[in-house]
Amino acid sequence: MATGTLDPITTEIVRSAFTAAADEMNATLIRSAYTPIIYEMKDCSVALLDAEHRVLGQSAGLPIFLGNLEICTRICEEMYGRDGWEPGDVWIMNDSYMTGTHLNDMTAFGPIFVDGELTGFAACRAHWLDVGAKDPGGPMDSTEIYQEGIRLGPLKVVERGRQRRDVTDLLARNSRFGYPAAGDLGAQIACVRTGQRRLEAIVEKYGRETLEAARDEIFAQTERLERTLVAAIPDGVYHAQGCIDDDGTSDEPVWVRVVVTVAGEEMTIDVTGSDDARRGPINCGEAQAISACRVAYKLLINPDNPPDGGAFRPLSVNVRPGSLLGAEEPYPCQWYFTPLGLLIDLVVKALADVLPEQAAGASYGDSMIIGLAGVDPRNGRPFFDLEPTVGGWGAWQGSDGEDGLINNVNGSLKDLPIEVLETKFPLRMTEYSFRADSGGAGRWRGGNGVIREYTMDCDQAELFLWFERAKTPAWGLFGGGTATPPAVVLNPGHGDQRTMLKASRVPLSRGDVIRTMTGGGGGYGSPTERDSDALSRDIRAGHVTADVARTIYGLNAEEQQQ
Amino acid sequence: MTKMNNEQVAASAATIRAATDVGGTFTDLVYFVTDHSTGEQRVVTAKANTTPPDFERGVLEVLMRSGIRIGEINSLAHGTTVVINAIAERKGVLTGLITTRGFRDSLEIARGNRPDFFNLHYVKPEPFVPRYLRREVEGRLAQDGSERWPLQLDELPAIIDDFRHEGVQAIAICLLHSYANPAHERAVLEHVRNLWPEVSVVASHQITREWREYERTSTAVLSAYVQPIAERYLTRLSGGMRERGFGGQLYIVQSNCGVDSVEKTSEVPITMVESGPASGFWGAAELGRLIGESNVLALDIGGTTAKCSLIEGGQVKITSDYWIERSRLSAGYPILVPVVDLVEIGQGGGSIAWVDDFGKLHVGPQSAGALPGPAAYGRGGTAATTTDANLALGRIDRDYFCGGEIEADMDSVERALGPIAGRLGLDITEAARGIVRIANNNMVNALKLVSLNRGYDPRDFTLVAFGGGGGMHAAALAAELGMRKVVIPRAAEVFSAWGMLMSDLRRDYFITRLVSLAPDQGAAIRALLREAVDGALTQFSDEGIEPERISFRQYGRLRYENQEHSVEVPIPDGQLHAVAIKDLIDSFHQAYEREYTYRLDAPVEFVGLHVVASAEVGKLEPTRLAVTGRSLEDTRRPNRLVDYATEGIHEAAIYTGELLEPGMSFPGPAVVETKGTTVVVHPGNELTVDDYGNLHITLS
Repeated sequence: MATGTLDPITTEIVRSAFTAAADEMNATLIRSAYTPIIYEMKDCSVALLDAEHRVLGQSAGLPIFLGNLEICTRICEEMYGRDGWEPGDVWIMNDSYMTGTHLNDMTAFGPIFVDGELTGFAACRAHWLDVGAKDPGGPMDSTEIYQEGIRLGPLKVVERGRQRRDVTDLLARNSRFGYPAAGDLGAQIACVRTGQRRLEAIVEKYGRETLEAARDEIFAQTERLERTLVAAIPDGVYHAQGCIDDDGTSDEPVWVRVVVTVAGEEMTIDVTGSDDARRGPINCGEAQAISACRVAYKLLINPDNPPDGGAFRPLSVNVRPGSLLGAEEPYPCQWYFTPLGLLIDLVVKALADVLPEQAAGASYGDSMIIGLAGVDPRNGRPFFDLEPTVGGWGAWQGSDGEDGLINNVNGSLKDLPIEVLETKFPLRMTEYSFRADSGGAGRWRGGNGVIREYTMDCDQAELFLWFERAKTPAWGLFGGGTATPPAVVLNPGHGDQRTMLKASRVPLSRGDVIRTMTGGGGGYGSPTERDSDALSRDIRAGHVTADVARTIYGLNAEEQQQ
Repeated sequence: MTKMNNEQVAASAATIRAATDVGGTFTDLVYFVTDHSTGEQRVVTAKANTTPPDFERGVLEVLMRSGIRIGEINSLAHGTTVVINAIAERKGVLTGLITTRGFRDSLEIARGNRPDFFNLHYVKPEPFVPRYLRREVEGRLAQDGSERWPLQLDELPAIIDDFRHEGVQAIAICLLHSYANPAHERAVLEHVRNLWPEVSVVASHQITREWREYERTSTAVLSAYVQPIAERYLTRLSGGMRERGFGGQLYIVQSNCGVDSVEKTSEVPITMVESGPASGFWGAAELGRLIGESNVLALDIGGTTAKCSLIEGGQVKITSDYWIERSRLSAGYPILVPVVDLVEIGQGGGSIAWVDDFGKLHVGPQSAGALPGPAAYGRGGTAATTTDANLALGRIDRDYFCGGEIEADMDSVERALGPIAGRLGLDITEAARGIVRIANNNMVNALKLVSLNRGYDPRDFTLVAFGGGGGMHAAALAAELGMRKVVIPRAAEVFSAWGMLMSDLRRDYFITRLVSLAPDQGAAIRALLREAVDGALTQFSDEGIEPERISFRQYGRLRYENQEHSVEVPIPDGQLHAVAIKDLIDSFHQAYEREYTYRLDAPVEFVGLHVVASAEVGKLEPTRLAVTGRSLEDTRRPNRLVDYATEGIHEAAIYTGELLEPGMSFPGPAVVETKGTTVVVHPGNELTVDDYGNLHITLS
């Protein structure tokens, strides 16, 4: 046994106590959050850290926040010193260049003192509906971060247990939706306090010494495991590149380039070859680029183990300051996740040849956001519907990709029920269905995207769109086909029909129809090798049309008769 | 159904109330005979093998085997896993779905979420109706129930022809906004019945009046999927009982802790989905009332699973936010029926201990079941289970295993524990302690999920533990959670059956309807309430239940405008004037703050109703145990060494549970043994026996 006095059972029980504490923090946040983006879409993340900012327990939220809450406590400590931590304090911050993410993501954190000694930190991040950007929710075409809302470095919002009214007022005053912001702030503070109480209780129960021994053993186990798994990958240098369509302000594609080097039990993901930061809002801070690489690493290396402070030790990430993945002031970051979804898929692609069982074809790739804002004629109040859309996922060895599933950065986010949508907003949905043939063909077929069609039931409104990955639609692996890219059509079949992917403030009037279509996932293996029963099932279900069955899968007319 | 009238009951010498519970392995019978002259109450139990797929055979078998005269049973409450089994084993029937034009994929898109989000190979739960059997009809309602465009039924005959041709045996109907207005669903339902009178068909509004189309469609589909099976089962069961002379009342235990008639249950059998577990929690609430404990954490530890639920202020929590097969790894399937709010984990006496590739010890969720069972059964089981660890530590008496019915095979216990110990670098005893500690830890986490994670402090609650394994672990779990008191009910191993016999006829109605809480909106809420109550009364009166017997409780589901989570607040009787509306809002703020730790200065809206209708159907009257004056010494058996894991090895006093009498008390370390359970009393605990024979353990 590694730690002498500590038995393996106690280590397990301490591990479970850390996870349970993080889960309880998460439950507090979700239960008390005000806006659906947090409680329904789970756009949040929590972590319990030790005094050295290492993760003791982390709980579900967005995968893209993996392992970067600790950056916030570290930065705060660098700025205000180790002595700056006071019992009962809670801080918040959202600066994109520090946290890596967009200004809507507010991170709250507080120190945990046990018997007067700094013992750890509790932290959580949640997406706020509005932080006072130039457009509701956040702009589609910002060119500087100053257009994206209020920007905060570490700011004390609770001082020795008392919430600062002046800071709360400042935050509420800078949001179009002031009381939801105050409500979500309250939820985040409650979450941090839960973490503080739980860690105190854990230290009291097990004693500092046992706890630290257990923590060290947990970290060591995770590190050992990951080193073994990385060592099993053949050494080499692996490349992949792809582009997102544009930065929202021009038609220029934006390139993300990935070089993965595996040497023994170490892996380096280098993204320095990616494009320079761009004028439009597709840049992200370094912290988020690192998180995205960690997500990709985790998908391939160690998906089952909950992340802790021992995770990612074999992984280094190289980011170039000034590139779109290492954005600096004043480059805009509102859509920071768009290149990250691609980056994750590219790491998988780079390693597919050496990890053919773990890899999968690319997924539809981005959140595919539609925003509809206007005034609800039923009550005269402004409304704002902002929704991501599900799409198709890549196939893998032994299985088709999934049809209609949320994109990789979004985790367990749920779609908005039509019955709730029609009640809350003056909209009508006329179709929500699978988009046939949109998945890449293959021995294992890529998943299909969806069609979601809205009709306006109000006189005036504005349309916002952020649909992506038309220039690099989901690719297949090992002979699998490429998927159909996304498309949005305004008023299909009418004289004023328009097709678009990104849009800001397009005026709409009553009866206008917006037909959104998301892309599919990439196929795996050659379509001609597809099992004929699987193909007939697809045809029967309407996932694959007879035409594609004939032209791509090579089904002959005779077989089709059967 | 033949009813036994009051005179007949009075004329017989005793009242017999029986309960049968069909479990995964065994079908249990418990009956209580209350002697009219002495008031004495006897408990009789019997067991038979469960007999899938014809579960009713096991029930009839256990009745015959018990020696009870079926004709003398006054009432029989029946709990069954027939519905959950059919779903879990995918043994329902081929089902077709009819839905609104444009939305046949709602069932398969589900909510599009990916809970196992580091899994590149995540697989969504497969829909219970394949795409080629999901069909659409034209016609549309708006969210307020008004008609946007009329329903078109002309395509229905072709759909039904297809369904017949494809071998469909059940049809689910779910149309958009039918929770607000079921007119279109009713029309489709009627038309389907005309076109195909023999087919089993259900429309979503018959089960739930709540919004969210995916959840409601899933509910209707799962109900249709099991309907023919459940109907056949219930018909055979009641027929078989009648043939054997049963003339009493047969009630089916529902997931909302109530019972209902066979006829009503056959219409919407999905309400039986948690038929078994619910009654234990109801029992815990009833027991709490009996012994003056209104805040209870109830824990049921069986052979394969442990289930827990929180009871606050004497009320079992009933919600319609129920999912099956949902986990960290899977989105699961929603079923919008009233179900007791419970958490279930794969952790019981038969749970298997194993060491993973990285040297970590786990217990469960795999179970050794009844065959081969724990290694100690000596039936070829080679895996070490929690029960084996408890035997190795002397917590279970190796000489009185399973009430003396099975000789504990201690050699196989050692053989099973050996490899675990080896992998962990521990000796066998340390490994056994490890298994018990991990098992306890898993159960503590489940108890935290229903308490701490929902804003309740377990220290404000009493732990009521039952099922075969409840008494074994309860005191350790309570200590871990800082709780002060544990109660192990008398006959804890059949406590669920006791709960069944304490149940009322109960129906929960959840209705979504957004109403603003402006001072003049009282009439609108009152009208909605009237609609719900009248609907319930009509239903009851159609079944011959008089309105005088029915009592109603009514709750508004309120929330801050546009927020997701609603909180239930009781709606007072009488007119809802402006003042009453204000009171309603005030009580919402209070309830909200209690649950979510803060309140907001924000508008409040009314999202719907929860109406509970219940009628007493002749509950069991618990009676006090007789005191013979037996001395505590006479209940003792020889002391033995018991390993209390982290608390060390102690010489424990051993008591025969069946001999304990009200008023007796003793300190731990001790063990109370009955034929069905073992109660472990830790050093520093104090045990007392109450008037009803329940064991109260006070922690220091």
